[in-house]
Amino acid sequence: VKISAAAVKAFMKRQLATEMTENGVTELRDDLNLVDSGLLDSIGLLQLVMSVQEEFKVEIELGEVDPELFTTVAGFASIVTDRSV
Amino acid sequence: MSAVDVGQLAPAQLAAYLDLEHEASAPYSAYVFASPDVAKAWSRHQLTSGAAEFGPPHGRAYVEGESVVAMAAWLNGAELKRLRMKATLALLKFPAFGEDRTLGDRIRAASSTLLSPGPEDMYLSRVAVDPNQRGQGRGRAILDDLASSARSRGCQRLLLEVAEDRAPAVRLYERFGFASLGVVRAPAQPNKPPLAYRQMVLVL
Repeated sequence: VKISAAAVKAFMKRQLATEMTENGVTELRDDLNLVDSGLLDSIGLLQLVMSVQEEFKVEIELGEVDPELFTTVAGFASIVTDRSV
Repeated sequence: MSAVDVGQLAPAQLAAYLDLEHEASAPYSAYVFASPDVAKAWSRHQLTSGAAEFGPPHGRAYVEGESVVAMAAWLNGAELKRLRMKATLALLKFPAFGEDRTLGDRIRAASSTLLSPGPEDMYLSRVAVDPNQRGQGRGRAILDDLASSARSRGCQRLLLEVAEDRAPAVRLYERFGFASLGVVRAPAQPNKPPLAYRQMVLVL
């Protein structure tokens, strides 16, 4: 099953709803930096990765992934969609 | 006893430094990791990823002659936040994270016991004195070093967590002037020892 980037973004929006309200972020634009905008701290990132793996049953194999990809909306979504089969 | 940046240590000294770091982190490691070997591998992985709170330039070994007799690592809240993010990214690439589904859960659970210092705060991340070198005022000397380093960098407060059952360490901090902010317990985990940290503060 191919996972769409839109599905990943919708999931992220649900997961980060509280943080978005707290930080005055209304929309997860592709180039939004999740860390600089205050949506993710280190444990928040860990939690998001783990819940995405759970939700989409995707193994995120990170050997060759640029870790900076995790810090933007589009980058995070691409990691999940690229791993799906 | 002179302080040497961890980046300047000879290989044998680095090994001794990491043994002491392991000792300093033991309560956290026993709660989080499957075994001491995984904990040691994680320390090495953080160091090589440039994500270690105890790496250069924050970590320092205390050396006498060629021997490492103690270690300590401190950094301000902004540096800590940046390194914790780097450590999470490093964790995602750490083999044990992919192999053990419960590791991430325990790291999250343990994080509830850790302070979130502000940019003006200095945070004592690790400190350990070689067991054969205790009772000689080395802990006190390290705290003097920490306090003067924090003052010279314009920090307002020193913050630390100490395992609640490490009574001699708690006494050392109290005598130095630290006040307790309370004890925070991590949620119980199957087959893991409990984790309880006393959070302490010293206003400079």
